[in-house]
Amino acid sequence: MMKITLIVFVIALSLELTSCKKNSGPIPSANSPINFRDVFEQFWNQMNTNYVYWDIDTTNWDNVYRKYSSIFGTLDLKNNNDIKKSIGYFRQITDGLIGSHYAINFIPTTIKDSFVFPAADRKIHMTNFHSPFLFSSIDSGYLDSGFCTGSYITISQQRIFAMSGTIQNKLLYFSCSQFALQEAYNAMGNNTLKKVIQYFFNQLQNAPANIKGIIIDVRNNSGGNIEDINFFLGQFIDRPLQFGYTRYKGGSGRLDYTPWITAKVLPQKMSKPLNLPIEVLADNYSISLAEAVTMVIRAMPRSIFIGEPTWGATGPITLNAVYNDGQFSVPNFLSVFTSSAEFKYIDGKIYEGTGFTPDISIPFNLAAAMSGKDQQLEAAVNLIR
Amino acid sequence: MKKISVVIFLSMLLSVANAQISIGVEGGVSSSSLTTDISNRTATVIRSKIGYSVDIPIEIKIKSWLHLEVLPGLIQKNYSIDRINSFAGVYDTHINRFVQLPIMVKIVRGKRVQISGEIGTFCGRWLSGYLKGRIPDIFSASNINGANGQTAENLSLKEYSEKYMFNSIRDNRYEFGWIMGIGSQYHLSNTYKLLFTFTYSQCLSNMQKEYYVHQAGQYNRTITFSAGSMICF
Repeated sequence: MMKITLIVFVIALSLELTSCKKNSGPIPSANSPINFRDVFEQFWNQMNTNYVYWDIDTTNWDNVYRKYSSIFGTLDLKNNNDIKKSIGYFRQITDGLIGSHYAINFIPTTIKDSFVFPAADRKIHMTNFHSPFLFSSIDSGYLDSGFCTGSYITISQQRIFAMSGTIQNKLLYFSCSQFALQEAYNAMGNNTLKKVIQYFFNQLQNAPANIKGIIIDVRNNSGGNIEDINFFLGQFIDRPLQFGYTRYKGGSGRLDYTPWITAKVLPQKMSKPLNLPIEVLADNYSISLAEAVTMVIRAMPRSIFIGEPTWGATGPITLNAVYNDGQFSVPNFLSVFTSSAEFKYIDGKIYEGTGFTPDISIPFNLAAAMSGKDQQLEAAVNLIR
Repeated sequence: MKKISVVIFLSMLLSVANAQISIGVEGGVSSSSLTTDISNRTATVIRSKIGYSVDIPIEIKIKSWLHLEVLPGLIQKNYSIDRINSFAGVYDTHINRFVQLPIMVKIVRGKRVQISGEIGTFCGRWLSGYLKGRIPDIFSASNINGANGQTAENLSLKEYSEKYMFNSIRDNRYEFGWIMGIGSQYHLSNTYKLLFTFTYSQCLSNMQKEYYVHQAGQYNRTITFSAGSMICF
């Protein structure tokens, strides 16, 4: 149980620090609450305005008000026991929300290490739940000699890893643990991650004749900076590639939305269209931008997705002020991390909460992985002859 | 008492039956705004937008100074939710078309040139809507290097222009409210007259159904300037 709690904590922390988002900044808030009733009212009202999934979420938010308004009214904001008790109530209130980025962090000193993360709570109770696995520890064994690895510490103090090389001299492989590739590439001074990116881009643009396909591995990748979607995937195309639609809250009302606008990846300078088959490896811990990358690749011609359904956090995130929705806070008590946009894939479906599903499903096998065998990668390698 | 009420009612009917009736056509511009709570929205204002109004005024002259007016017609009630300051350029314009039926009591003074004041109520139905706007595209994010060496993030704006899709849970297609106005009429002859009218109307009905608790209302407020002509029978 403790191990599961630790896993959930690590996922929540990395998700919040790295998810498909713009720079962090001030989160809008109302006045500082004077009692717990105030805390609840501000939280409940701001959810109406800022949560983007009310059109598809089945949580009865009005019933939440009717039930918990009086419960919170009995709690004392100056009582540490009541402050701790409130975490359980917030967990109950939000346990059905489909937003899979959604997390509540708490500010009072007594509960600042606590958090509520409904998606993770649901996933750890699923029958096929498994812990995240560091595939890079075994995948280097599949790469031909001369592969490169690198790392970079991001502005938000996250260390990210990447690896690139060829497999059986016929496949070009790239993996990364998070997305801050453009940030690393443009960072002043040299860093080893930049070298990995340069290697991969050079190979991509000048693929030797023996290269028959590309494998992009975003398993156990918690997402990252949105600009990477154009910086990285824009290298594969020479014209804009539509992969879905986004819409945002268009007013203060629960069902006030803007129209859907197209979501496209834009080609980068000197990019060439990819004329090779491309495979993307993703798993249950491919989160946020990693899921977007998976979906973009799947929208390319001659593409295939191998692995497990992704996490289901498909709505991108930015500052609340950009769209007047998404993340918000109740001053001095809690902050809510949640999507700024509702995302719909090019096939017309919304995969929030459920995850994007693979073409070839290969569940994670811990025993095989512990013996150095990556079944998902092997399937990808064997597909290209 | 009952007998006196019937007599008064019949007298009124006879007055109307014998009253002079005028009918015409009138058109003009409308300027609408939406009254709602946007205090929680950063750098956002609601601005009035111009539309059209066209109606068929039907006037019943009960007395020389007292008229009853009915104005079935079409009216646009347009508004725009605009971002300001560093978000200037982002907007969401709503173009809404209503069929409306104001009924007003009109006090008229003058002979050939008349001035009038009117007050009454209206009801209407929201026929259609259209949305035009510009919004940041979250997936267009790119880094730009500033002169000071720092990196800023840039989002391009994407435009949209499409029919408004009604939502049966959210949208209230019927409206009612009060209306008042001032105007002038110029009698070209005993039969024909020109009219110029300014009206102000305030919806008392919410544009949205009450589909959740503690919901903020959204109310249309409209002014019109119209000109037209009428034939007197």
